[in-house]
Amino acid sequence: MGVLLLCTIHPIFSQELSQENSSPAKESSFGMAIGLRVSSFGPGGEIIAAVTPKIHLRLGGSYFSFAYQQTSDALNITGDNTLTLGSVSLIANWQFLKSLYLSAGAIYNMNKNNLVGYSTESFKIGAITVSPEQIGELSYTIKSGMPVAPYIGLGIGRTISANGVVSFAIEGGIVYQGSPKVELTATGMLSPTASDEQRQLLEHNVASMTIYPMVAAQLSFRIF
Amino acid sequence: MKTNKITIYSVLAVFMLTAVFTGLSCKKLTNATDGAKLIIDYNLIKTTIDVSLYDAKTGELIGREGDKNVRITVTGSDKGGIIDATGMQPANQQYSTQRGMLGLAIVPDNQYAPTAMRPVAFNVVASLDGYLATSQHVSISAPGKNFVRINMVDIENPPAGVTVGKQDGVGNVVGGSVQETVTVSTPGSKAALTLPAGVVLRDADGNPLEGSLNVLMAHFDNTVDEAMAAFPGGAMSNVTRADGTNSDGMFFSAGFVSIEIRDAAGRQAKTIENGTLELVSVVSPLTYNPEAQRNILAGDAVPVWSFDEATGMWSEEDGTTIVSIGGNLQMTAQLAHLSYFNFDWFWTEYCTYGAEFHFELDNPVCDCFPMYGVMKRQSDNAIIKYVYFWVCGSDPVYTFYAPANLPVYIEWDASYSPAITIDPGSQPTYIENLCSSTPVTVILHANIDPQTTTVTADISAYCASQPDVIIRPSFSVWFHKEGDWNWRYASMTNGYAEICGVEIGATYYVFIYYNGSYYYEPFVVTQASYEYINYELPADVCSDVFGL
Repeated sequence: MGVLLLCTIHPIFSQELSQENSSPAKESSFGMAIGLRVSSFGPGGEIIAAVTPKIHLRLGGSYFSFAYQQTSDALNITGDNTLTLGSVSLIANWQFLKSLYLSAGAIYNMNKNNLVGYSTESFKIGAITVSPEQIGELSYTIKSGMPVAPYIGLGIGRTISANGVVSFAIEGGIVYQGSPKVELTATGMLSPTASDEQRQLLEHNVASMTIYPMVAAQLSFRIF
Repeated sequence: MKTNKITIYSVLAVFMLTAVFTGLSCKKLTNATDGAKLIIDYNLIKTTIDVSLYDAKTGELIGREGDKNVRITVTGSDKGGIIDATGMQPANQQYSTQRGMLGLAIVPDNQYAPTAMRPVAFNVVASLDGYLATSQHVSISAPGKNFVRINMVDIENPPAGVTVGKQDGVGNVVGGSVQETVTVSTPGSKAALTLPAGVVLRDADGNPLEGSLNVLMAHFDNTVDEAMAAFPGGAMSNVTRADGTNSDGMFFSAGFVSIEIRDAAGRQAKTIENGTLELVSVVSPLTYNPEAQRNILAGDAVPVWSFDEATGMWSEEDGTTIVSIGGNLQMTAQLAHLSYFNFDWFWTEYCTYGAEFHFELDNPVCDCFPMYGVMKRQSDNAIIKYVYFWVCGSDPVYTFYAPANLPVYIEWDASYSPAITIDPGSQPTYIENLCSSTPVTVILHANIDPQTTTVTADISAYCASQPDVIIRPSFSVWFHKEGDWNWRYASMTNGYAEICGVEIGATYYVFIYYNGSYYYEPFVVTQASYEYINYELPADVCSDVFGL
């Protein structure tokens, strides 16, 4: 759940980062571009449609998964931690200046962190050998409280070039995800760990994590 | 241009405010797992066997005052799967009880998972100085709570139907050889043993007995309940047949004699050479012959069985024939070794899955409760076995390895569950065939004493070595009210227990067995609810019992 502990990053844009090449100017105000982006939801891509010169619609998606292990001395429990970042976004840009735009939209938030704890070794209590199967498994998942979350952001640069082919943008914003939800399940000897009381405690601990920061860098190519 | 500037400033202002609020929320963030614990249910043991040892005459638990220890040895094919209630397994499977009780369990391992097709079978062999050694065959076919009652015969104070003859300084033995023929008998000549001159007596290690002999002989009258209740091995048993095969079944007894011969040095005779001893046992004419389906008559053939005290198993010997001498029926056996001898027909009809029992209560009671009873044959009113059911709500209770096609009845004893009375229509409960698919229904009444209440206990504990691990213990205790020797049974599962019929303000004695030791402590009940939350356990309990 480390990513959910991240605080919002507030980029301060102090310089013009937009770059447009000198490709032939486009006559029509309507256009489309495809973009490659890296964001706090992971790497992904976008399709950008310039509806008017200042209004651009963006449909995008991103995904990233990272697994690592943790261990606990208690009952030799090993934890397989899987951090998943991902989103499907539908965002509208208002390009109110040549290289500055405001974004708003909705994001289907697929971020979650899942920890599966299990014992890898048997241990003995008197004459009883307790197997890993008897010890059981504990699964702890934390995810967005709102699957579809509102988003607002400010970008520098352009997600679709005004009159060229290539454009570049850096964007920062916030996703209101609501209080995260915790799912807690357990089997075997660990079953009582998954009590409703424990789940509520864990949700309380993360209840203030209602904002998820969006930081993105994007390279787009206008296709017409 | 002015409009554009206002727009820019507005947008930046919105972001700055957002940043401030977001920053505040960041400060509130704590470790997502703060306060959360790893809570462990130590309910590993799914099958328990609570063994109670009673004096066959007084009906009291042996050593209930803490003054006697009964030696218990677990024998049989599955002895390796038997542990004590806390998971310990002493060397040689030898346990020592106090206050007449012992908590055993089946090790939670797939190798010893009890099923109807593969029951866990073993013998509980009990011995205590001054008492006749005895045993009980136990066969468990499903996980759950099991109760075993063993009645032991006090040599100096035997129950009705048991005649004990003790004669010291009998005869003369040189190099194991009996010098002159000696006959000893029980009072009333219920049984007589003749040691012919020339036979050689040796102990289990092959050492010859020397000098005069001390002979202890007990005769069990098969028509007397108290005597049959003390039947070693139980009437339901696993036996070794004459062809060497093992068989489950039930004895129809025609009498039982135990014989113990020692020399002055304490050597106990086990083997006999250069001849046999002659045992004559009187048999009651009221004895039921199941093969002829009538009372016994002269000329009836009866198999003879000997008992191995070490293993708790009966073995089939040569048979004998009933004769009538002076109007008394008697039988004679030639003994090639010394043991307990039993004259019995063996009923081998049984079913793996027996009838299910439904205990119907007019009002619900809290928690589960035991139902004790004694099962008797309808044909001759002979005790077959004690039955113990652990009743939980309206759940049916299943029976396994029941004798088939044998009409029986069960006389219930509700004294161990004070909140329960038996409906007269169900006392006794008649059952024509324990292997029938027709359920057996027993009507009960909830008899809530207004002076009593239900006490709950909630325990969560931890070990100093692992403070983030919370232990929810599972264990069983016996307890009785001060001045009342009716022991009751209560169990805690996953740290929670409900105990019915407890009197606030009364003193109860709680009894628990742990790691070879017994703890018997008074406890004054002062409230209806007890919570022991975050209770720190002693380090030895953490390491020995919980592996932490």
